[in-house]
Amino acid sequence: MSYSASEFSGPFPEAMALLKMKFPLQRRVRLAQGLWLLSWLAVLSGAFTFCLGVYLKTELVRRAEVMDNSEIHVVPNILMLVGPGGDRHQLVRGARDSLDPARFPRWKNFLLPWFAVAALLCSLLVSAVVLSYALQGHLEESLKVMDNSEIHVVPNILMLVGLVAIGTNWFAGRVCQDSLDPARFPRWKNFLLPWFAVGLRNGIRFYRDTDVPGRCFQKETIDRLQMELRCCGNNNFRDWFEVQWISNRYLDFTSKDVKDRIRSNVDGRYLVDGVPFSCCNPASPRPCLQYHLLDNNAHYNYEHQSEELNLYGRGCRQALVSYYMGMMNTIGLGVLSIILVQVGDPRCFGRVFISKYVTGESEGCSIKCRPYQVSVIASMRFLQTAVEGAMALENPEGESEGYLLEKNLKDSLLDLQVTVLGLLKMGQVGPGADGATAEGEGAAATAATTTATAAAEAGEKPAN
Amino acid sequence: MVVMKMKFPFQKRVKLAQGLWLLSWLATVAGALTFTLGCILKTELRRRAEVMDNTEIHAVPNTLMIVGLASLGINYFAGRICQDALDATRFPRWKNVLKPYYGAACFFTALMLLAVIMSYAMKGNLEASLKIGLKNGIRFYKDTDTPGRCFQKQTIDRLQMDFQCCGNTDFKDWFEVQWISNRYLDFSSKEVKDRVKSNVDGRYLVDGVPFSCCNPSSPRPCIQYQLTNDTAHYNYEHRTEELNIYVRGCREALVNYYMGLMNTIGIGVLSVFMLQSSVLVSLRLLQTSMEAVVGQENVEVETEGYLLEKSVKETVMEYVDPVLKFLMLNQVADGEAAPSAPKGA
Repeated sequence: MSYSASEFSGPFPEAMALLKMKFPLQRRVRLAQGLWLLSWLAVLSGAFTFCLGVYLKTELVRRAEVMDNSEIHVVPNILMLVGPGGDRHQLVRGARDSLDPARFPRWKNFLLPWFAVAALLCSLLVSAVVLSYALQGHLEESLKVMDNSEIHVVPNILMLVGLVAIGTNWFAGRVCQDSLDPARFPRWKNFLLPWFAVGLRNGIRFYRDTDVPGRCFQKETIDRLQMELRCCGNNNFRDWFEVQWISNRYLDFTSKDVKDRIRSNVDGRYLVDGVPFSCCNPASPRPCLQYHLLDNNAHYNYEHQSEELNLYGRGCRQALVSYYMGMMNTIGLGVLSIILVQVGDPRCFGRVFISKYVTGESEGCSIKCRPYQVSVIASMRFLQTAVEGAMALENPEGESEGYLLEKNLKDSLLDLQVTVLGLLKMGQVGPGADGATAEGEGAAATAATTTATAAAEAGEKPAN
Repeated sequence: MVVMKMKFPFQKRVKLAQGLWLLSWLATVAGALTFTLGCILKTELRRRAEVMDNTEIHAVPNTLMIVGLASLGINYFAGRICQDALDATRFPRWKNVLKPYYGAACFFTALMLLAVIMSYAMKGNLEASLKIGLKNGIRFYKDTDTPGRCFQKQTIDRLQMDFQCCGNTDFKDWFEVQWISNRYLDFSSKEVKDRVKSNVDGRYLVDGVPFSCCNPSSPRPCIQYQLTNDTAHYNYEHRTEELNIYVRGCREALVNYYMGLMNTIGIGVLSVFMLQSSVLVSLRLLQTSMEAVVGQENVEVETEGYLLEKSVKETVMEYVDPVLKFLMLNQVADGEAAPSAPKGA
């Protein structure tokens, strides 16, 4: 317990500060160094995220025609925005300057708002991810009716996730990452499936309209899609039997066969039991049979029930979903790990809380946790408070204390509430609205309020 | 007559050494890059090895890989030598190593240039190899039940789809080959019997192509059979119709692909070659200028550096003569003394 820390922190009991830890000079130095390294790693991770976003975007653009809308592009757009977050550099320098007492003060005004923003965005992020999973069931329902207006909810949520990641994606480091649960990702499947169904259905319907502007490339798109992903039709090759995929321009209407087929159909469509060539499987030992698939007599040594492999067996919807699922899984793992770095390893905080508040050890986390397990936000906060404490000491190289929040959580929230109310009243009450000059502490912006104790604090705070 | 004599005051020597050290590291990276390029080319050639008759073209990537590895070593030593060059006490220990070092370095640098030249010169070789390989591939297309050939069909199909080509020279190659296996032909049918009889070798030839020749960009559903029969399809004239199959041959497509790849790699390797040569030249100049300093009291004196002590021809003869004498002593039958690669003195 250092003399200057209590003088510095104001007239309230020290034990009320949230997660107070001791910081001798060596530990401060190490914290700053580790933080600097983490900042640079975060820059790399940001670049990586950007590349992932670009990759996902190009893949989606390639298949744009079989997706009914372009809302899903939000995901890669976000990743691309997230990537090159310019403020990382600031924080790298901030971490470096923190140990230089001459240069540190210039970061002070920058750090406190940053903490507020970062913590706010972190909570937004978590809630956004939760919401996006929760709304899947609702989406599936609405999509069955093929009305896509409600699908906007999901990409908007994803946009929020991305914005949060922009704010908090400033550091990256090693992740205590057991918490990434691969079992959560299959739930994305139900989210992607309906999107593709609509696009593919249209693609097959308009396959023959190569002379209609706006649809003239459907044929090529579907053909290339089926060849590349090795799939046929929407659910399987029989989808082609239900659609007229041969244009009337190539049908001889004077021929008896054509006239019979058209008459036998209610809508006057020319339906064949055949598929386009792009369904053919090159791995089949037999030259491709694409017409008269249900007619055993049309081909020698052919039984359509037992014949296998000549066409691709799986549907393109399934193929597309598997393809993008794989990609999203990888990207999702990366993004979630970055999120985790912000929040830190929950186990570490669990230990801290237990040891400090349950078993009553005063040292708390200092024994059990290593620096990288504490989140970057928290370590930045510790560094800032520790250095500020050290600067106020007579001997700057002595031991100081660092903490997360000056008061405990409940009091900080109360202060925040007062600040917000003060801000809201600012327009009405002219003078005495010191809320405008509030300096943030942790997640809350504790403000100078009109109360006496707060005013005393406010008098001391500008001295930081 | 000395080749490329230059004066080197102390400061210039120092700067030369520093520049050379930096260059040698760049050249090391470039050497690694050459090795990587060689690996890439080799991988690409092996992917389509089934439609190539011989592996002579693999000489190009093999050479690139050897040169890449060698240049790693050469440039590493260049860096070490130049580090020691400015220190008169440590420099002499390199004396004996230098001559063979230069010999090896020049040899591998020349080999690099040779690899680039080869990549352009072997186009004909590649084309001939592809011609034979594709011919066989098309011939054995139907033999999906013959061990050793059962994957020809898949290979050719995927090749035609990936490279958007059909047949060897063009799609008509498929008309001359029976590509539908007898297992799928109904020999009791009249039509089949007629076709087989009309042919000298008893082959079932059709004027059709496999599905992998179909062009997805065509607006019309693919017409692959009875291509020369106008009445078989509605609104179809095979002479004027823009066929909805690929028209270009796979040989041409593959040659273009590989030549493009080798051209790109060749340009990269040429720049690595320039870099490597400049490293060697600078090292030689540094070495000769430092040799003049050895034994002098004042290390900062101005010296002269040169590339070759005698003219190029004399230096070459200096190295070739012992080889000639060696060969003539052994009375080689042809009496031809093929000079070994000229070694820089």
